[in-house]
Amino acid sequence: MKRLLACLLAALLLAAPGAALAAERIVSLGSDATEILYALGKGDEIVGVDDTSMYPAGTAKLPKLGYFRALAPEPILAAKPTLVIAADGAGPATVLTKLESAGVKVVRLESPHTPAGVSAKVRTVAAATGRTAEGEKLAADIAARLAKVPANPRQPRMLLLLAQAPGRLLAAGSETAGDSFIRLSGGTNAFPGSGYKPLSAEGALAAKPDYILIPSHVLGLAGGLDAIRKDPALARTPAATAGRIIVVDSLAALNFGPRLPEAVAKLAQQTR
Amino acid sequence: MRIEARDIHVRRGANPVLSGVTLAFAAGEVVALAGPNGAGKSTLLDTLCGELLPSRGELLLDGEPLAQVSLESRARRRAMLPQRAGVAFDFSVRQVVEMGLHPHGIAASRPDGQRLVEDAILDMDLRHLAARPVTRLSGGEQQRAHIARILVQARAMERPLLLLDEPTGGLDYRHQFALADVLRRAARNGATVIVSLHDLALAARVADRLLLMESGAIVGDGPPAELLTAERIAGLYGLDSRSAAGLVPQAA
Amino acid sequence: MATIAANPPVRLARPALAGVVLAGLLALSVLLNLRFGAVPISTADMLDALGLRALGLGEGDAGNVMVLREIRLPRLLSALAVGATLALAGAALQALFRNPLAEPGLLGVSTGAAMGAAVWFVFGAALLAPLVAIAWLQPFLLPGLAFLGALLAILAVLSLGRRGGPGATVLMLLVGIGVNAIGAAVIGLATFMGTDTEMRALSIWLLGSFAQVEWPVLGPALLLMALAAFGLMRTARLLDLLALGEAEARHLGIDTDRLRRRLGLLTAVAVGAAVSISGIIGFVGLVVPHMVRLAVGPAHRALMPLAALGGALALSAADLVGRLIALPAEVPVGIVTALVGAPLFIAMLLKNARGLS
Repeated sequence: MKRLLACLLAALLLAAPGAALAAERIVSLGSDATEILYALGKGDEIVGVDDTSMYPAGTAKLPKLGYFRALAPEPILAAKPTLVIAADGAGPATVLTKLESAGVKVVRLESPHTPAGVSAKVRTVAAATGRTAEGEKLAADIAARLAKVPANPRQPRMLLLLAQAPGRLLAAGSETAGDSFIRLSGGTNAFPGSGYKPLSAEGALAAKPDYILIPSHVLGLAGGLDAIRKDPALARTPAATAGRIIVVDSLAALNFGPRLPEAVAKLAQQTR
Repeated sequence: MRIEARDIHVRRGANPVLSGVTLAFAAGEVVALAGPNGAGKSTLLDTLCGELLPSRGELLLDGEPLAQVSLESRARRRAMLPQRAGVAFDFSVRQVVEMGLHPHGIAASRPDGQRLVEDAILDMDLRHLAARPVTRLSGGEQQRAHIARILVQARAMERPLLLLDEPTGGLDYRHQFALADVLRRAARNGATVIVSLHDLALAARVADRLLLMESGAIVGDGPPAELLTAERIAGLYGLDSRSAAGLVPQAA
Repeated sequence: MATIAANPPVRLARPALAGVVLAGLLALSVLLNLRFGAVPISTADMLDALGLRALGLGEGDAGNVMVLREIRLPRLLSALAVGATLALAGAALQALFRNPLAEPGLLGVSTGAAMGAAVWFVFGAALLAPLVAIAWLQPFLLPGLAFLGALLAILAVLSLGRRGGPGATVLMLLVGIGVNAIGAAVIGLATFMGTDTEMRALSIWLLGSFAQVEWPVLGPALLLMALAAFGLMRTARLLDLLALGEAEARHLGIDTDRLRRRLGLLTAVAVGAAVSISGIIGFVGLVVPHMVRLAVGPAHRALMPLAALGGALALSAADLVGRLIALPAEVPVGIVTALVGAPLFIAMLLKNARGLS
């Protein structure tokens, strides 16, 4: 039955004017790339994804080919891809060049953490998959929704935290996805450093955050919301005493994919 | 002279351990070193073998300054048994004994190498232990394995020079006497043997010449029978005259 | 009671037998490594990719030929070379320290090499710009810096942890912990100062993996490993005598200071080159020589070549397991060796502790 449907679908695609001659077999390395592919209607051509590609639900059924910064070439080749979309940071770089030398087309995405960067990624993926028109529409839609997020005159101070282990917290400084996410939502980044840096008790106090943002995937590593609330480094900050600790969807907020406007709007609303 | 020390002074750290020692050793003699703990016996042997450098004085091996003789050449001209020898890893007794061939570049598989190794194993009564790891043997058995190694090294020399520091440690009487016989036999064949011993009776049994040491100096040099009087023993070791009299070797 | 005459043939036969067994297993491991992986490849394709089309099994699929030549072959070669080199380095360090627990990983030599590599990853481009510009030299820079890091670690361990007597094992392991800590601190500093991407690349690389190996990088490292392995093998005769102690070795004509410097240098080259292509892979240098010693005894003229064979076998087998156990993804080989090696290390430690008490 499934096979029959697939044949019908293939026949339809072949018959459709202007459609690609044959379906691609796509391996998507990076959650942003995967989400963009699904948003462009290419989800059913994906034959494998990296471990971080966990949205949308359809990814659960796909072969997981490893952590996207520690990939090996052979598992990817085993999926017999015709096209590999590699998000920024996917690698090691030599693995991607190996795929290319095996005759696989590899499209590398850049990821400046800006609205324009998101649109550019969408357009690149759209161009690589023959969905230029849909890509334009999606990119414009993302830009429009981001532009609609109202400015927050209070510019609340926010601290976005990652965790290496319970009690070992890293704060997002400038030039990180977390920093861009905060600023897009109308806040100011309370942490003065650059990159992800270990957070000290004094550093946390000096940062005076009004809000503490915890990406959802960090919750488990940090030991849960309670552990964060009671963390000695955080307990005396304005955010913790007022109970303003917000869990944000890691992928939507930080992968700078199609769901960024949603996440930004939600945070903007929560911190109004 | 096989080996000669001319007015040597040796320090360990800041402390002088040998001061102004002048000695010469000829081929064919067995020389025993005796004296109380800390008299400088081990230091003298370490110096004669080249391990310790004298701060003053001259040391000659076959008339050549020892410091100018390469380590390889020294190993082909003298064999040294230090006081505490140990082995890491489970080398068998035979493998340890074969190590004595190394300085001479003789392979253990060569017939002459095999003969040297087998003879030493027999002499030190190790036949039944030859395949056992040295580390699993008793202290005395380990010592015999190391003596056998030194014998192999020495016997491959044209004119052997043996330096042995307390070789009888852990040996029972039978094996002490066996060692004494081996050393005497070597000297008869032209070897020079210098051996430190605590047992004065054994020293008298094995040695042609006895060196008595005290506080880093030679205080007696001569045939054991002449040197080993009750009075001298009492003075040297700080004993009462009755105890000292009991230590005078009878056969001497 | 065994006769004397019966002994020498027995001693000759055991290492030869072990060599045949190890070589057989190694050949099997090589074949399995080439034959199996995430991409299904037929035996005919495999033979074709290796240039054995003449065997009459037909022409291989071009894609599969590429997978074999560009992915499995360099990977297999690096696993073989790194395994052999680490086992040799382990055996040499054990002889030098007269201690079966001496190992490049535990003594901090691997971490030292990783420290050099971390400096290369984060500061290399800025620090060594004039050298980076020289094309033929460039592939040697990472192994070079890893070598310098390993050399620093070895010098530290040699100057501090080589005392004999009771407590020597504890002292050596403590110094190893100290050197490891210093190396980890420098790596931490490098990651702190590096960019996010550099930091993550480094932490993945530290796990120990052959996934990123490619021919151009492999060449210089293989050359350095081969030189170091050759040099270490040539010291085999002298290593036996070190077991007697340094003074005794000198009495037997060995210039122990020179030998120590030579071993330190060769081990640093070996570990530096190995770590530069694979990251830190622990316990191979510990477990393999130990096993070989159990099988054929401690004499290094048999131990060294057999340890090299055994190391190549162990690491190629571990990588095969890592590649197949979590299909379609992979487990880094460093994790596989640690899972197998760490319990064996603890067993050795317990045995050692019983021997001391």
